[in-house]
Amino acid sequence: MKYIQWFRLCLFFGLAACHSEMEEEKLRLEIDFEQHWNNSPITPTTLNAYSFENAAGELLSIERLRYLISDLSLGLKDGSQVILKAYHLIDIKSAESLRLSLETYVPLADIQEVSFVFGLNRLANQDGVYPDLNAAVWNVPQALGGGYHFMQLDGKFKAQPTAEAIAYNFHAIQAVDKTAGTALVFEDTFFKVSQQISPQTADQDLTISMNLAEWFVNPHLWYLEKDNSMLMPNFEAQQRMADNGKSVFSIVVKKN
Amino acid sequence: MVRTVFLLVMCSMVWTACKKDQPETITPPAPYVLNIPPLFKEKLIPPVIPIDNPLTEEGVTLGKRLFFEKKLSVDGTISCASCHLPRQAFSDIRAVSLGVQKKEGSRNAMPLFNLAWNYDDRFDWDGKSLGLEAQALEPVTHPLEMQNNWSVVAQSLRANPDYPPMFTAAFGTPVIDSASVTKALAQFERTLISANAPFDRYLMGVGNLTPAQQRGFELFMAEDKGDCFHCHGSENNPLWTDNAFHNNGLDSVFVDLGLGGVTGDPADNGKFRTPSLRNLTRTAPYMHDGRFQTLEAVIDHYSEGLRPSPTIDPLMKKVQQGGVRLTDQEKADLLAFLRSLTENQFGRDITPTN
Ligand code: HEC
Ligand code: HEC
Repeated sequence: MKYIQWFRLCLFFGLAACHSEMEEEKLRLEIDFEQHWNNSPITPTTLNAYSFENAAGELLSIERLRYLISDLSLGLKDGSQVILKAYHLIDIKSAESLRLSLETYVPLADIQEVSFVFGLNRLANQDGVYPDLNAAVWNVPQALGGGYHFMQLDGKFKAQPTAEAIAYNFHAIQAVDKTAGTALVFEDTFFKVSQQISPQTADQDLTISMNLAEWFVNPHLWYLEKDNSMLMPNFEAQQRMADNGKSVFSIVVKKN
Repeated sequence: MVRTVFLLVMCSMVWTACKKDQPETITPPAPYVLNIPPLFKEKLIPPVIPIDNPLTEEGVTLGKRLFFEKKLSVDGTISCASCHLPRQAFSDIRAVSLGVQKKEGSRNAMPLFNLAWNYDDRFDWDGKSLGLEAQALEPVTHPLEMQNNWSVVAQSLRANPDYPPMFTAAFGTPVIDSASVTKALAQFERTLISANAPFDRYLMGVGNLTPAQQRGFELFMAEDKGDCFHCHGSENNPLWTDNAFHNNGLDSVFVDLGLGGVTGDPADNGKFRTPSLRNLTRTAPYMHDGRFQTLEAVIDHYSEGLRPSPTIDPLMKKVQQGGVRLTDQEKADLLAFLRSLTENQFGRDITPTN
């Protein structure tokens, strides 16, 4: 963390020194967020129907999907990092959250990698410190350590096609064990996602893509019938979610 | 000679015409400094103030006068304050309010406070009004509310010698029309801020909670107990609402479609905007149709009275068991906590004359 701050400081002065020269190299990055279920797109119009089947054979609807990424960064060839955005809340129902338009002064040829963190790292996950996230009612209760949600995936499922629909609240947070005496015990559930990109293609659109089906299968086969709600205080469920999350994202470079 | 006179006349005409456009006598309105509560400043993003309607002292004063103005209604019998009573945190004690000629509306009059912190700017129970200015257009002409039309309103306000100078002071022109009236009303409404309840004082470290209030708060915040915070906020969102639309399980069949009536999407049927939990002890009855007279009845609803429907919010996860199933002790604790969000003084000092 520290060296990133130093790097940004250096970058700032470096830029100030050769501003006009760098202007030519100004890079506009469009980053789109796209969600799908094994390649069938999830958009506000495909919500609510029981059109998705998880690996356990349960049919589900998706009524709400919001998730947080942080430390959206470019990795440079010299090993340093430029943070493009500290954190970003994606809400599938808000078109403006699904596209980030960013400017950066990093020369194209220096870029090697795009990366982000799902959720917030332990240091960033402080209670109540981000007013826009507070305004979005994105907080985690203090009894669970405070901080913020990483994801809210809500909907209903049917264990069999003819079964009654039952609600699920698949909410990801930092895992917390409340059973170990009086002190809360935490385990990290944020994780980093990164993708190498080649310089020639960096002026093209990037798409951060989430395959929701992966939340329910790999490596842990997830039965909503068993784990559907009150998962926030469920230490073990949070760990399994984080494990499954690691295969959920991909970063795709698209020609614009 | 004739030419010179002509020129002189022309010049003086131009001069007087110019003079009209440069109103030296009109002083620009003074900016109104919104008194943002420290808790809001610390926890929330800034309030929404449209750039084309900044708050001014004169605008707010005019807006307040208009809020109590019965001439806005067709027969001069009701004002905004007839349904939004200052002593009830600007809500109505009736389940549905009475418009002119005692005609009943179909929804419960909403309390008015912290409106500038409704970031999506969607007002009414179903979000049909975009912005407070647009919202204020509606009651004036609504057949079950003030039943008036705007040219009559403008005419009757112009006839009152108080008003033209007040409009000039607020907007730099004496023009009285729907735009200037609603701008003034919206300015006044944005100054209605409530953030001084016992729970706020506890958060600011100048007050304490009773053990029952503390327990109630914990159960409000626990996903495996009340689980109210996902929609109604927390100490980190001191508005105590997400201002979003949900079906909280009131009905299986909808008389009022709510958001669905606005979007036309059946998936939105039965969804209404989450109300703030501030000032509850002064805003009975509850819900969009005022169906519950008491907070006890509201708590019973969430505890065991939920009704299933295809659009019920997934956060109403225990609908199969009727709800979150609280014990009598837990209900009493939750009630104690909810009551701690009421600010007794809010609105009481706002009268037509002060
Ligand atoms: C006859 C009773 C009545 C009168 C008169 C009335 N209102 Fe209302 N008001 C209501 C009702 C009922 C609602 C809820 C409307 C809905 O959801 O469709 C409401 C909603 C509102 C809201 C929305 C609040 C929110 O949080 O979304 C505002 C603001 C408001 N009224 C302001 C006014 C103003 C300003 C006037 C005067 C011009 C006024 N009202 C006159 C009954 C009334
Ligand atoms: C899914 C979101 C959601 C959850 C969770 C939720 N509410 Fe609500 N609440 C609402 C909505 C929406 C309304 C308005 C519904 C209507 O009028 O149709 C409401 C209305 C209320 C009201 C009436 C306020 C008024 O002014 O009329 C109270 C009190 C209330 N809720 C308390 C609670 C409590 C206590 C809990 C937890 C046990 C809770 N709510 C959980 C969404 C929610």
